[in-house]
Amino acid sequence: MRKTMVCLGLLIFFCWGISLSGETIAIRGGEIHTMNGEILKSGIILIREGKIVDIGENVQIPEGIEVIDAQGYILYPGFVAPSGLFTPEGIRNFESFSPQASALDRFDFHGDYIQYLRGGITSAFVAMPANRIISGKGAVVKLGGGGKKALLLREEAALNVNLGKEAILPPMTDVFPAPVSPENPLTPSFRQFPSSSLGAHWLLHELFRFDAYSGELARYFQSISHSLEKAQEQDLPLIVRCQKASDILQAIQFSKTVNMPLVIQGAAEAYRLADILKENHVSVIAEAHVRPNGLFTYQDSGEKPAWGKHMRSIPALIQKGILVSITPDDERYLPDLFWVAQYFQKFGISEEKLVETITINSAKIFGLEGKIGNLGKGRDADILFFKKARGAPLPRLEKVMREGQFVYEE
Amino acid sequence: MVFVLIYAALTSTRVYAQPDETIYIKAKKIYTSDDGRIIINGGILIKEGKITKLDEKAKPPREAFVIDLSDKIIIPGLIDAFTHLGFHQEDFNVRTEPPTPWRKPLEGIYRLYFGQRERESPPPQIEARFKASDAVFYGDSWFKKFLSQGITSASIAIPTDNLLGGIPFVARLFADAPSDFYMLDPAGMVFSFSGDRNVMKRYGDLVKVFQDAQDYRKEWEKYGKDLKKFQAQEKEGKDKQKEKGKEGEEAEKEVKEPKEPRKNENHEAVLQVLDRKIPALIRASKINEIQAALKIREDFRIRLVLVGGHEAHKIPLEISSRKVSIIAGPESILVKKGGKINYIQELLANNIPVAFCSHSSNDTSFLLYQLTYAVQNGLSIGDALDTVTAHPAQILGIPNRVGSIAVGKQADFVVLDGEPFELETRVKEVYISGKGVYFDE
Repeated sequence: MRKTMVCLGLLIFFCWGISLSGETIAIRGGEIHTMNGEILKSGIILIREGKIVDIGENVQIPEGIEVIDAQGYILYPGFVAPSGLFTPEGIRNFESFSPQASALDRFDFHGDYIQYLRGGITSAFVAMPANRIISGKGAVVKLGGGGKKALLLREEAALNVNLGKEAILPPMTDVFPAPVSPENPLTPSFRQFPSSSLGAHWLLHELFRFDAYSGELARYFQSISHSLEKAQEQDLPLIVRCQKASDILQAIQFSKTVNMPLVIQGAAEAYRLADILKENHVSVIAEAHVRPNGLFTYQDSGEKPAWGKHMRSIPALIQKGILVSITPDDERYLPDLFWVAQYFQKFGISEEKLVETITINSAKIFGLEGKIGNLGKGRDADILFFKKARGAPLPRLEKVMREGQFVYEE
Repeated sequence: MVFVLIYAALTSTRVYAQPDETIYIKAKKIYTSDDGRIIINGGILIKEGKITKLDEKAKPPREAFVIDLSDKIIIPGLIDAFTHLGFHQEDFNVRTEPPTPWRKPLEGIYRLYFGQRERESPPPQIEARFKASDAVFYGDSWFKKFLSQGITSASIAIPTDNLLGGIPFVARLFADAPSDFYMLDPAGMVFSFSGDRNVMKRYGDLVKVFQDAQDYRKEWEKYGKDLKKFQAQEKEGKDKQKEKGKEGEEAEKEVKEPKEPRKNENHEAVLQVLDRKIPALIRASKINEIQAALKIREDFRIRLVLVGGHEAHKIPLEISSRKVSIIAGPESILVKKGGKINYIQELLANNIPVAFCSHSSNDTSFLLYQLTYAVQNGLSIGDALDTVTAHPAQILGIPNRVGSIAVGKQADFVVLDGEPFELETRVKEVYISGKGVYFDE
């Protein structure tokens, strides 16, 4: 009697245990674009604890688990936005160099990001605002509720640097060069340096010469130099925002001297330097001037190149085989990332190639291709369910899965 | 012999048909935009620039010049319902009232440094009688660019935010002579409720403009009556004079000769609107502007067309019951706090005729592209095509000339290399009145 009771108890325990550990979901029947160069016509994905356990066309589905029928759907990995501030109103940073500042400090982990999820963006790089020369460190996060622990993918993902117009924007504050001391007597304040393009380049080089500082100045610059040194040790990618060809060349030169991987953001005139970019393994976060609802009027300043040329830049870079990630130049259009990328079908780039730019390519830039941006064993189960709609030029997004759970359903 | 050979070579490479020739066009698919009719592998017969026959199966007659477009798709020529094409940057906002804000401080600076030298005279105000057709040159080189984007006709208005926006006209964008260029002139009168925050002030001003015009007419009517009376009396008086001699002189003094009122072209232009001869195109986007426009329509019984109409989907029943049509644009989808509003779709669902316009002066290339985005967000292809073909023709008042591919209409059409609302589709050829006016090379 006792033995049978124990047996029964054990049996119940085991069954319970199985049901607990086996929260496995299967997705069956969809056309899976893994973004690793293969398309499974009718594939099966097994998901456990928010991660993909198995993927393929001939995968055994264990009995008694929940099966999601994806017949007729096109499955893409969740999109990765390569740049964004994610604040309702724009913020500005008026310090000339603040590498110690982190984008995470102001990112709202409990915010409502439903408009981005609706556009298929499950993860994003939260950047520092593009003002002055070194803006700070950005982080890669997942979007949608869940708190900091669940959402944070990489705390320090890249260092935001600006060259060109942004670097020399006039700052609002005048600052003292250093705290007052006998060595540094009280002097009139001066405008924050740099104020010219050449000055920006010089300062960038100078900031990385850590042994050059001494005395009081060294103490003042301690936190700055410390964080820059740390960034160099971590081999953080430098995201340099610039548009002109001359600035891009300077950025390449600079990345060689400090020995850090380089990503060019903006890159309007990069089509001129396609060969050089390819040679130096530079990746590009291209800003597309695409206005989905059709407002194309913007004031043409001297800094901005001609619109038509800019549009040709992105297809040229993709055809050259450079790692390109596409983002709209205005953050208001970020929820339409899929449309913005697919716009370049006009230039003869395939749909598959353009989806790559907003998934695996963005993940590769931040070194997270082992986690997000593609569908494979061990990757996060961020899956987008697209369906071909009759008459519509592109498939429409109907469901969004983040780590095995639906966060948005149409 | 050599000349004959050269002539043969030239004619074989370029297939421009003569306008008065009989032309037959074969196509893979024809979107007629005539109650959503689509013809597959059919043909169009064109005589003297007009469509005379539509075939379900292509059967070209013997005498016709056949243009084979059997791998292409045909849509009607696009009509841009509200534009400022042909006006160039220097024309913008120059004559607006109140003057543009930056002008005042600049004037102050000039006065400080250069004395009175650079000061300009106060900008003249746009008046109701101003015609857009006086300012646009029919052979403007920019029109070729708009043709390449598939636009065959456009309604052109003066670029201003002033309450009185003058008289627009409908133009055919390819014209050999000025008489071909003006399709419909006047095509309405533009009033703007947007552009000023104080909508009620603009409403009051417009009421005053209409009332002044009415008073002007009353004055003339009174003058007419008085003049008749006077003339009749004068005649009578003369007869009496013959009969009775001196007694007639006293009778003549009873009614004086009336004084002729001054002619006012502005009031006369406005009276065309009040007589319902031309529609009033009122620019109103926000809900309060739209309601003010509807109120004006109630008060003066004008033919109202709303231009803009971004928030019109909030009161669809009020608009559809009054049979007001809308020229929407330049956005195809409204983005509000993360949500997208397909307002064109919502208006069309309520049986409100909607035309989609570019509101632009230098670029119309995004007319099809913007609608492609609306199609992606739920608008049907037929509806999207109607907003740039059939509906604008109806709203502008030229439905029996252009707007669809149907028998008896002008043979305006655009040849595409793919389905109309796809991202990679391009405009290949454009025909106006059966004449090829643009070829993509």
